[in-house]
Amino acid sequence: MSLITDEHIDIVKEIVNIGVGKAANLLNHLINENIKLSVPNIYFTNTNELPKFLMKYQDVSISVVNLGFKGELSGSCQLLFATDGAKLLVSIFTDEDITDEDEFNEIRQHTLSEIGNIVLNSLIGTISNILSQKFLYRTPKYIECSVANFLSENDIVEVQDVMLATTRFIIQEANITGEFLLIFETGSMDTLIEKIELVNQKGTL
Amino acid sequence: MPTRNKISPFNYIAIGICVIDAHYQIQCWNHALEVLTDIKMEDAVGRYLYDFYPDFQKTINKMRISDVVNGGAPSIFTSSLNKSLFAPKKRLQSVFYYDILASHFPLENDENGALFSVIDRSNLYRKIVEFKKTKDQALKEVEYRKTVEKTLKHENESKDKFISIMAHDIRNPLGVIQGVSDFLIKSYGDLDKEEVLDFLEGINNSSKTLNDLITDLLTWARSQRNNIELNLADNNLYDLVNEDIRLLAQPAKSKSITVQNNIAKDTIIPFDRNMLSTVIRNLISNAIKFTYNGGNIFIECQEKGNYFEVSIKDDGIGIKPEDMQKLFLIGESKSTKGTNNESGTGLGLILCKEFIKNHKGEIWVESELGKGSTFKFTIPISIS
Repeated sequence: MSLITDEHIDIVKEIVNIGVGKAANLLNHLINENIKLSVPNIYFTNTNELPKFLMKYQDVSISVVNLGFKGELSGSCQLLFATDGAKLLVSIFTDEDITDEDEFNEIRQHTLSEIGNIVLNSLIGTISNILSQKFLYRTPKYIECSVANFLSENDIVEVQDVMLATTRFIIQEANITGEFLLIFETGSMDTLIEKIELVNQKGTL
Repeated sequence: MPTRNKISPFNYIAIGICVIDAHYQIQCWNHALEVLTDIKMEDAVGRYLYDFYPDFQKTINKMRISDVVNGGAPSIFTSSLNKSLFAPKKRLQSVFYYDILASHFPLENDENGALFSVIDRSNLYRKIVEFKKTKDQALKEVEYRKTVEKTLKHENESKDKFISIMAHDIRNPLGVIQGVSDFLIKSYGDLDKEEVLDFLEGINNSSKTLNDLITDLLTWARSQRNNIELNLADNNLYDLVNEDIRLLAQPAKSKSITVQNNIAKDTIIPFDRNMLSTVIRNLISNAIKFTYNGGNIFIECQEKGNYFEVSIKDDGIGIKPEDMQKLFLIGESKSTKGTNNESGTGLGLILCKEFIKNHKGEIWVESELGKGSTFKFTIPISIS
């Protein structure tokens, strides 16, 4: 596997920031509220190490919106929330009073899927544009599980490279944290570094 | 311009399908979508999607669909956030719920398009709404029961306290009667006529106090059991107040207190004569009790919107702010001696509150320590 340098990480950060900027713009249109999205941290790791990065979700249920993609780069991107955070996010978008005891029913799961879909599409769309990559996409899906079951729910059995970007949604008074994950199929991480290197050389960012 | 469905297999699936080109012109509208939208295929194909659903021209939707048309990832649209997209024409908007997925769809001649699959989740939505309604109702019921339980517990505690206060108040005059009569029996031969008369007056006063207390207690107990019927009739308030002033003329005269009825002579109000007379008598009696010799009491009535406000004002000793809240509370009832050491039952104001409540009115006090008190109550102009 090629080594990812600080320079590469800076470029990835910039791409992700452009993506979340686009997502925030779309979400602002959806509820006429000032939504701020920020990505304070980006990490490169692998699926074996991933549980360490998701420690804070260990004792809670998580809600995940997943989108698979195939191309020169293949894998899936995921937006992960603690289910309670997901409830709060949905309640703001639907202007609905959801209490802690209320279940995160299927209709609310669909609503979260749409919100997550907007964020994921903006991010993966930006990556696709900047790295000049054409992807074929799978149908988005929603998963509710525990961190322990997260990888098996995503049919991940072997060690895969992961990019993890903590994403903060700041809406009204709420500050909701989610995780944007890019889980690459074998070999795709090398392709990513190659494509980033190309962007770096061309200076197209 | 297309005139018919070009992709006929879509007519054999149960999910609503619509295909548009990059300009939103409808290329396909399957049978399932006809049912969901109440729009016929022949009316849809060839038209523009935003002709039927203008929300497709909203900036956010244009941006998202443009990405899809150009090969971007599929976009989800739910009825939670996009109520009008593919909304049925005939059915009520509130009872449908669709999940829409827009995916990239290559058209003939290398043109790009988008395919919308529309899944009807209305049944699920209705069940969830129904479940939430039932759950909310059950929670409300639980909340209501908790409040009732709390109120009942509080009332019970208040009544326990009240009973203990009353027992104490009854014991005092009884103690006087028993003690003085014992003394009289034992010392009968040693006492002269005047001394005997003094002691008999003491017994008489205590028995009067006891009688008043028991009368009030019984009236209150009846009012608690709703055994006192409210006999509403149009009555002259001025006349009623005059009668009550006459009944209290003796104690007022003994303290040289002027009691002035300032109510207009033609004030006719619907009220229960007995109940209101008890209220007014109690309030004037209290005013006399807590006013110094030579003081003044004024009784007035004003019409205020849809109720009358009656006030009994004195220039007596006034009430401490911390005591004002307790006056009408059953658990706080206590008898206070008047300026000339007059006694009372401590039940009068509680009865007043009950009787005014029966009239759907309110009673309260305004007072300044050392300057006097004004007791006010309201009676609605019409009581249903």
